[in-house]
Amino acid sequence: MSVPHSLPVELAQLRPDLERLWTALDGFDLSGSAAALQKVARLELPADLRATASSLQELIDDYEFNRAGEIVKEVLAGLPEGPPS
Amino acid sequence: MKDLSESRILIVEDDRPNIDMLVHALRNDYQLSVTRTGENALHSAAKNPPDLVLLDILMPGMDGYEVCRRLRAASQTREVPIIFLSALEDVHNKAKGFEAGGNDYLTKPFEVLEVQVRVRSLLKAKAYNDSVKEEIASELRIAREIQMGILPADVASCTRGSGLDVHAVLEPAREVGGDLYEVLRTEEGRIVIAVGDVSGKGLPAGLFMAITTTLVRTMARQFKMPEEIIVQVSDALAAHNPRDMFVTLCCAIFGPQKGQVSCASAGHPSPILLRPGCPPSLPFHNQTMVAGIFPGMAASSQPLTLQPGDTLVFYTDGVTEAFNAAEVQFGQAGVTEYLARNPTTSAADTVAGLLAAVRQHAGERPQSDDITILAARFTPEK
Repeated sequence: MSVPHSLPVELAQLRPDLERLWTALDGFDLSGSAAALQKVARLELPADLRATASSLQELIDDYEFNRAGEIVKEVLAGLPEGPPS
Repeated sequence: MKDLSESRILIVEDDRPNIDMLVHALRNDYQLSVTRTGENALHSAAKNPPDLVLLDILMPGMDGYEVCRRLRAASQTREVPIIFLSALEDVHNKAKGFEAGGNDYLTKPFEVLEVQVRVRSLLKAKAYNDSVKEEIASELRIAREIQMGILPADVASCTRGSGLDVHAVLEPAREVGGDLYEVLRTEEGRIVIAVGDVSGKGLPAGLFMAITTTLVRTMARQFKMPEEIIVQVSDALAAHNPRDMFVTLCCAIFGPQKGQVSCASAGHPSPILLRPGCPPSLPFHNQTMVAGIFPGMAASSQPLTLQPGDTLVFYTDGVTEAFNAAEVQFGQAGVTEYLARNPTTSAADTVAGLLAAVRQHAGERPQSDDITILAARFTPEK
């Protein structure tokens, strides 16, 4: 998964929600990660992030929290620094 | 009581169809965490402590028994209900699960209704247990506030102009404790200081401490000699003492002449005399048994004339019996060595320094007994 080169300003605001998602995935929290991903998926996302959200959903449904967590970590690393979360 | 829908259930199972079935049965009613290995289960439990664990026995890597033992060893999950999940119907396997710390057992293949009912039943029991514990903890916090409120509120104002600089600290090992101290000025201008230590710990010791402190306060205003105060307190305690509790008590009366002090003790160690230019010494001898059990005890006091700069340091056995990780006590020697090496110019510094030395000696080892330190420094110019 890659992060788009031209990032909309709103992407930086994704960081807190993605951090919450990563924390839930790291704790193998099915309910928490499903809820956090749902919140992310409701936002206006670029096409490739929408695809990522969809594959994350599949991984969570398969209880593959470690793999999902790695993907979220990569997305977070590619995001511009936003306001402190 | 906690809303059960806020409860978190940790499912630890390596078989996908079984996980799906359990998630289907429980996800609408509870918060779920799911792991497929024992190692991940321990990580999850540390991050999000569960209210209940559904734990498979046979898994790759760490098995369910070991996961259960480790959850029981961790403070956060020591009491969390654990239901073992297994196809092993053998009674020995079930017994092994209970021995490892399991609370219940579900045999595969599961019945959805049975899973739901057993989970709800254990969660209800846990929620009730948690609420009772919280209520007790709340009452103990209030009891602590009340107990700390019994101690003298303003030692400085009560000793002002007496030529004594007095400072004290009392740190219970639990919410409430059995140590006590009292500092008061009588109508004739004498300063009465008492330090005591009730047998046992916790709430019973706390109640006995409250009674003893009240009696000391009352008797100190009626009697002029420390041995009279101790005998009267002991007799009053012994008259209503169904549990045969007792208290060690040291009572010193300063005055009426500045520098005069007389001291009596019931089973309590002598205060340590710090005299400038001299090694610490024990000026009084404990001649009497503990107070509170036998009526009609005999006691006597011993006099001492303080010199300017002298300090008497009273303490309880939480100071001398503070253990470190190597099981070594701070000891009487630790107290006197510290005081000999660290002369101070105020009662507050003496108390704070000695307490810090005890803490440093104990290190990470939790405090096992109440600690009381009281220093009275003779400064006739004040």
